[in-house]
Amino acid sequence: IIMAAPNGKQWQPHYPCDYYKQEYKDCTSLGNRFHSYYVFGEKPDCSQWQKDFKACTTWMQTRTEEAKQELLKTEDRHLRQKYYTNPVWQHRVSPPKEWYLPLQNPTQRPQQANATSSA
Amino acid sequence: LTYFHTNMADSGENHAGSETHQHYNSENSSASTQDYLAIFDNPQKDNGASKNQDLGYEFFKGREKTYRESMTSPYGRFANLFDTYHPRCMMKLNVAMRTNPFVKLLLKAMEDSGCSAYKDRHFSCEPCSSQVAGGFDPESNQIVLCQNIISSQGMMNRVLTHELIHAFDHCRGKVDWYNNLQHVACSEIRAANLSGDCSFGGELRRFNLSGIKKHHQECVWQRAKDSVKLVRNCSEEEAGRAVDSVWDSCFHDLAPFHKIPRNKKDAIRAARFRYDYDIS
Repeated sequence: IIMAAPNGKQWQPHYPCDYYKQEYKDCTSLGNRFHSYYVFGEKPDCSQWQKDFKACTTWMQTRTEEAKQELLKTEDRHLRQKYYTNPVWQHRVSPPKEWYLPLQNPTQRPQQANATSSA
Repeated sequence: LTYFHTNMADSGENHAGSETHQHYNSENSSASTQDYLAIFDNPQKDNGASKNQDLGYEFFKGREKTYRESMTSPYGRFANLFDTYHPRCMMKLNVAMRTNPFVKLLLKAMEDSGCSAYKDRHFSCEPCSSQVAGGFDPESNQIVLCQNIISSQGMMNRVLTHELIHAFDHCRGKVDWYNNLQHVACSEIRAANLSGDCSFGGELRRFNLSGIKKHHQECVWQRAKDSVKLVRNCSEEEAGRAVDSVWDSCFHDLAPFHKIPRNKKDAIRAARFRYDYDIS
């Protein structure tokens, strides 16, 4: 994840701090605790979201360089997760070429409610 | 031969769709007026793990029938005059595409990867003679929805999400649907995991809760294995092995979500996190 040098603008965080707060709130909710037990068999660990939120608010309040680095690390983690590619199949760089081609066979088209249609 | 949907246990909306694949032996195609290459040579059965072990499946005997023929209206020609299934399916499809956050998130994700999905081209409401609720056809790049199986808006939402995950995988990766069992298993794991097929409420309604702890993973595994077995017509062991081999990578690949979604709010937040897209 490369941080491009902005053209004179100040660096801004990728996500507003409220996103982390909402995730933390959802993480600690009762419904999510049950869901985590149902899926993973254990309690959810919400401390990471809290740390992310702290990193974000620290920078918003103090604007120091260390806070910025912390926040960059946080965002790096999230962006890595966003752009994670599955090792099972090869990643495409362009969509499949048949995606936009029109349907070959007339019966592939959506069926009309038609008295004479048989298929 | 009964064509009607006889299953009682599954009335909830978590009915898993299946992939319907076109097979590649064109020399076996029937001498019908359709010169469509698709062959359907395995009996269709519900790929959802909920109930398929018990019912016998003899819906489909003809080895030579094409895909579209096998999905002809079970109600006969004259019933088409009074067919309400098609417009009702289209209405549910419209509502889902306009309002359901899961569907909207997936559509946005696909758009972001370059495949915008158009309602008249990429979705098709059709009558099905089998018990599956829908499928993704990689040959024509279309999502097929079974208008006589999908009974509620919730079910439409789930089936759509499930199939859209397949379409999304098809869009962003070179998935070999026909030859590679692991690719199919991977997509099925993701679809069962992320579409709400294995939600607690759904499993409860289907009386499928053998335990609560980590049941989601068991359900996902089971559904993925059944789907792979159904669409690739392979044995239980092969399907099981395929699913096991890709489990670690694919269970943790949550794209386009950021966590395994539990409710609509999770989908809404995922849209904001990943695509800067504000649903509702």
